[in-house]
Amino acid sequence: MLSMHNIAKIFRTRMIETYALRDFSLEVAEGEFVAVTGPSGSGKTTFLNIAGLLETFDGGTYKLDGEDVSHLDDRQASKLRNEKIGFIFQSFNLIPELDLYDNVDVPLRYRGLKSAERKRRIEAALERVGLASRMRHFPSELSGGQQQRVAIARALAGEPRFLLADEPTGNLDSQMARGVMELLESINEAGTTIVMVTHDPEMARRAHRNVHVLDGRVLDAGDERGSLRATA
Amino acid sequence: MSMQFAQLDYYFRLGVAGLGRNRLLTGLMVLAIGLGIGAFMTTYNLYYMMSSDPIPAASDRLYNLRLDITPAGDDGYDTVRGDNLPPLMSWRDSRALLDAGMAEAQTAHYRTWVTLKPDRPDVRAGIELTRAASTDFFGMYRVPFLHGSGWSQAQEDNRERVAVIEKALSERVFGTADSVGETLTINDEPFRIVGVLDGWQPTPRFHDLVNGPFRDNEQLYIPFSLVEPMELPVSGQFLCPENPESGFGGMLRSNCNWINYWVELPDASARASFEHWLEGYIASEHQRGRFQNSQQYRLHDVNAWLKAMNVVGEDTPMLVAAAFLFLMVCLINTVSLLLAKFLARTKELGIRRALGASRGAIFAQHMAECVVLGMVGAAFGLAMTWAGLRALDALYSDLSRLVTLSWPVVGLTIVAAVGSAIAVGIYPAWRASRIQPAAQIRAA
Repeated sequence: MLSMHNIAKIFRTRMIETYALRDFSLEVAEGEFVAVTGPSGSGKTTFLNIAGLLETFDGGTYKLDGEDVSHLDDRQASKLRNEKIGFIFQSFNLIPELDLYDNVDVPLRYRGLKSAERKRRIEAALERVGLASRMRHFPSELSGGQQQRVAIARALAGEPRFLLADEPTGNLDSQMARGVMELLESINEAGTTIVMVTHDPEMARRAHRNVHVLDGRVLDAGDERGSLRATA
Repeated sequence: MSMQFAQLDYYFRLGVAGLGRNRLLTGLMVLAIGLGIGAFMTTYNLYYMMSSDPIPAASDRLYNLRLDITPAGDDGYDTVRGDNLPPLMSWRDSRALLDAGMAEAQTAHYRTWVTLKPDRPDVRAGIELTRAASTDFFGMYRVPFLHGSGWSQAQEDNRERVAVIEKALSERVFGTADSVGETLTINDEPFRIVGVLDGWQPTPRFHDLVNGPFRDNEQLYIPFSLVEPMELPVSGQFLCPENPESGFGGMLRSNCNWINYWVELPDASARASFEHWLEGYIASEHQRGRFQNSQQYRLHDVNAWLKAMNVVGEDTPMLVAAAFLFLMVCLINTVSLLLAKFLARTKELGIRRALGASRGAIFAQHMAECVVLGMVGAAFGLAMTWAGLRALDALYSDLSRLVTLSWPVVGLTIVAAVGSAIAVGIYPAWRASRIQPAAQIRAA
């Protein structure tokens, strides 16, 4: 599903070059649920941005669903992002001026789906996260956990094959975090590949596999659930 | 196609919603566009009306004719740009040229005044500004008739008391627009109405620029052949290079100029033929002691005549240029305001980009917002244009006809406002489309 080999990402100023990622290699198989952990500044977010085609990279190869994305132009990258990738952010990133229905509608609009199809998907996605009855409410009227559920509904509505979650429980209390995690697990069980960046060891343990990132490199990749404990 | 339409529809909905946010900035932008467009369209409207072709169907075949009748050694006149010939013609030459009839059509006319005595007791008698015009006047100038027609050459030659009146005068005097066949008492003589005009008012009034390019046309027209028997006075410019003999006959025999003379020459050969004859006429008159200063003549077609008479003037283009600069200042300010407005929503743009919006989509969304802004600006600009034109009307009453908000001006105002909004929106929309989504979505 995701295949990165020797990815390099350099942030340059006039004086210095900083390697955010160096020889970063990672394989994620279809249907996997991978947790990416690491300290602040280790390169987790840069990896996530590159994986989500939000940033370009300076070296190496990246294939998403078998397609080399190195030379995609903006329009092609946007199309791929819209059709294959779903995003869940720590700060939810809902648009406050739009109600829940219109928030979930955003990625579908850019796909150019017909009105009836969009309606079906939006209602189904909100139903799945338990917020169908509040679709004309605005984000500010919801709790943090509910807002994150809307963000998940927005990601699900596009029916992506690949879900990127950046600290999805970082702004939630433990009870809400567990609820969101259960939702992600059910999405993964339905076949969606998930890569989740997290600081939370408990959340990381619930993934199929943990990947630890340090200084822009993957330190440890194992399929045993205890690997995080060994490196943390 | 329907998918693209749906996308456009979505962008315009976002545009409308976008204008609703930060209403202070939106209000300032509408104010800037509206004021700039209003100022520019007010002056441009004036310029457009002044410089428009008043008779496009025939402007290249109608020629104003003037002869140099000034005495030997006379400096002549400075009325017409480019020469010193008098801007009008004498009775003697006008009559001779009319009688010769060497052009396809020709007309001599001037403004006079008569006393009207309506038969209805409820309509007061009074002085009416009138145009004495020869037969071809109506045909040459493509004058639209509501009822009837102009008088015939035979009626002109026989000095029949016939008249053509404007609809407004007909309604005032006869209580109806169709007064053909009715009798009107002019200078105590009965005149038969043969035609009713449908509000003929070319702008500029090319056929008599000397007496005001933008004033109202006369409401009554009578044959030129009646000038002599009725001793119709001149109500307008009367230019005499030398003192005429006394009495009306003396005026007619003099070299004084008060008559507009126009010929219709459909092509180059007609013009050459007419000029050949005209040069012969001038030469023969020269032999008789006239045309001693020069034997020059001038033929100007309609648009050349408007230029030669400086109808637009030099102030008006300067005014348009100043208003255009003001519009530019307003638009430059709008660029800054748009930039501030668009870049205040970088977080939302980052989210949209992450969810699949391409740079092109973000650009299109913001350009749609500019179009909506332009439409609102156009509405305000139209109000400003209307107010500007009203102000001009109040300041310069003789320009009242030029300061109407016509449909072409309304259309042009909308196009100018929307076009301006699109032009000023390009850079801010481009900047909005270039934001880095990764940086924005992390900013909680």
